[in-house]
Amino acid sequence: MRVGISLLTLAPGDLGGSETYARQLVRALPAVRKLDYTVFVPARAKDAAGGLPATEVAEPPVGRRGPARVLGMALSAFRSRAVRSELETVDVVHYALTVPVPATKAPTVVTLHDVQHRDLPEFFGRARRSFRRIAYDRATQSASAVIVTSEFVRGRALELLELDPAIVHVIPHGINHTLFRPGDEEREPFILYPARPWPHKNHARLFEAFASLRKKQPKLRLVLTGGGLERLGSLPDGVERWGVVPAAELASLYRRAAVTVFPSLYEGFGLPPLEAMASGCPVAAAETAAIPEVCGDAAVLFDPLDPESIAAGIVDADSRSEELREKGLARAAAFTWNETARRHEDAYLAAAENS
Amino acid sequence: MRVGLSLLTLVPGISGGSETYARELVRALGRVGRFEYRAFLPSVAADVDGLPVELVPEYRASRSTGGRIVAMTRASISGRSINRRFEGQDVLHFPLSVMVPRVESRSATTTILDVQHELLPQFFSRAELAYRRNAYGWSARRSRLVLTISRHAAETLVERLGLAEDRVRPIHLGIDHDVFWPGDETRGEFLLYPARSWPHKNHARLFEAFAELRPRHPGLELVLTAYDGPVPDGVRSLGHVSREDLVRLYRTAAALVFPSLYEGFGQPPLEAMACGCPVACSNVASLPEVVGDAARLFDPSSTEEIVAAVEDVLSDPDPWRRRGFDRAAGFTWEKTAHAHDAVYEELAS
Repeated sequence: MRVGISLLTLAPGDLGGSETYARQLVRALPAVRKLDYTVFVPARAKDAAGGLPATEVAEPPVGRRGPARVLGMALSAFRSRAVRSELETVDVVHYALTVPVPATKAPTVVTLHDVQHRDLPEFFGRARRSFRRIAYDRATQSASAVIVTSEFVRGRALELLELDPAIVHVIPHGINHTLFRPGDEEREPFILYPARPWPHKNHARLFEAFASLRKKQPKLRLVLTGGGLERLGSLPDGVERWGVVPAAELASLYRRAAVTVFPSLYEGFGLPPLEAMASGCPVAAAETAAIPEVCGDAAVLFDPLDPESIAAGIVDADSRSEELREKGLARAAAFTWNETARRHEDAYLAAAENS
Repeated sequence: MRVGLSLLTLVPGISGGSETYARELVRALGRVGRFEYRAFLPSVAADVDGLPVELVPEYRASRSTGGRIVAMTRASISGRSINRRFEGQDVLHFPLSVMVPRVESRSATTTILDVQHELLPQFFSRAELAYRRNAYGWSARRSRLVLTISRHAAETLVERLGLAEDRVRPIHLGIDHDVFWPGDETRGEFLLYPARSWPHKNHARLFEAFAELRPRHPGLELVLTAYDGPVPDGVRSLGHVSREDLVRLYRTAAALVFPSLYEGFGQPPLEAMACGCPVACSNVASLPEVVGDAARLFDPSSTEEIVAAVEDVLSDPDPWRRRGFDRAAGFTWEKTAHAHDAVYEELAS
């Protein structure tokens, strides 16, 4: 059986969870594969095909990201002879980034990372909301199999998109254990929050919690990483904006931070808590969305809407660092990209059988 | 004086006891309440009646834990329009255990219906446990008074949440005596246990006790409602039944057996008593306080005790029936409503 995996809407450097997922999945598939693959990639991200055969599509002339680029990509793919001939040979097409480009008559598998556009529509501009409604909802509603990252997303998708439960597979993400591993660095008095400043990432309430902690520990710092942090404007005392850091540096931050905090209001999965656990860092995380099912009992959970609860969670995680380190390492070990890849092959086979 | 009741998290058909409490309280306040009330409802529960209502379509109540958390998150980030609806109320009451929307008010009260998660955490998923601890915790902190439904639940709140005793008020629930009254049906040869398949309802132990009872009482059956697990021989599982059918079962059962390991209150024993059905009842949590000496009490962790209690009731049902009927008569929704009015008055002062 031959599977076409589309990463055509990858915008390199977004470095969100979905880009990590797309890249790690195609990197892990060669190790476990029973099936044949071709990966559709945009020209400026051809390395994303990992070890699998790639079908490259020329960059559209307009739009670096967003709906304009997607439309341009769809057109480029439609015009590409290579894509057309590959599409004739595949039995299943997997839209790993949800958006159904290139169009195909073959049965499709769609990965749905979250349904935030329906759950928290006020966090989206009108254009992105309607784009997601059209692209995501239709893609999943016509798919032969839908892959979701957590039971939480599954529940939300069944409720909001009315999908057939039989075709929705929960496949958690993995963790890159070569990169994220415990070390012998000293822990330093800073709290780490790796997140782009989307509204649902909840930086404002974290700042409130941090301010109250700093009153008692004046040397405490809060380190923020991720793209776009300039949008947060001026920061409270003790908060440091590190911006986009290389993966190896992020890994080192996890090994040195006193606590990794994850106060996000909405996650379809949420990789940072697991990355921190894999690095031996104690985690305090929000009790919302998929976060508790991902963290299991290896993190302190708090109410992300309540700054007092966030602060108490950080203090608790810090004071239980030895216990949480052991629990976290054990928890993170259960998540590997090879396992994720294996379960994707099962979903591809199910989709082909299904249709 | 104006009293607003927020029922935004009400989803019909999933929350059992708390839904009954909210609906009956609203109806009873409508009949006997002394103030001006307004009930705020999500679209899915638009049928709540008895008081003037205001629909809040921007709040999306949901039946799943995930959906509930999303709805609360959403209310709190875009909550200004929702909060504005509650302006002008002198007192705010949140009868469904969680303060939604979150308000800053000196005259707010939340009813925390059960604290089972504090006593039996092993029966809860990690997400549900964290959600309850956090949500109940901040609801209690932001409320001037916390209501609950039994003295036992009040003690647990004081003990586990560290609330000051004088901030916690137990108010017993009522029984709808227009629905639950003895008929003239003849009683059959079966024991009744209406309870969902939740671990704390203790079905497994009851099945053990029933296996011992059966050889000694050939023909005796055990009838379950609302249960959806597998059952042993001689046990009839009716699944979900209507309220009319439940009343008929109370009127025709030889006895109600109630081996639950935890209740915030425990309405079924009282409902059975109101229908003239003799009751054998677990002696834990709020149950002794609710049934008093009108039920044959037993230790629900002991098979032998359950067997002995059921046999006592079966061999001499009449005294239990009389005492039970008397006991149930003391519980009315009007009484519950009056007790709420007293709290509302205190909050406004």
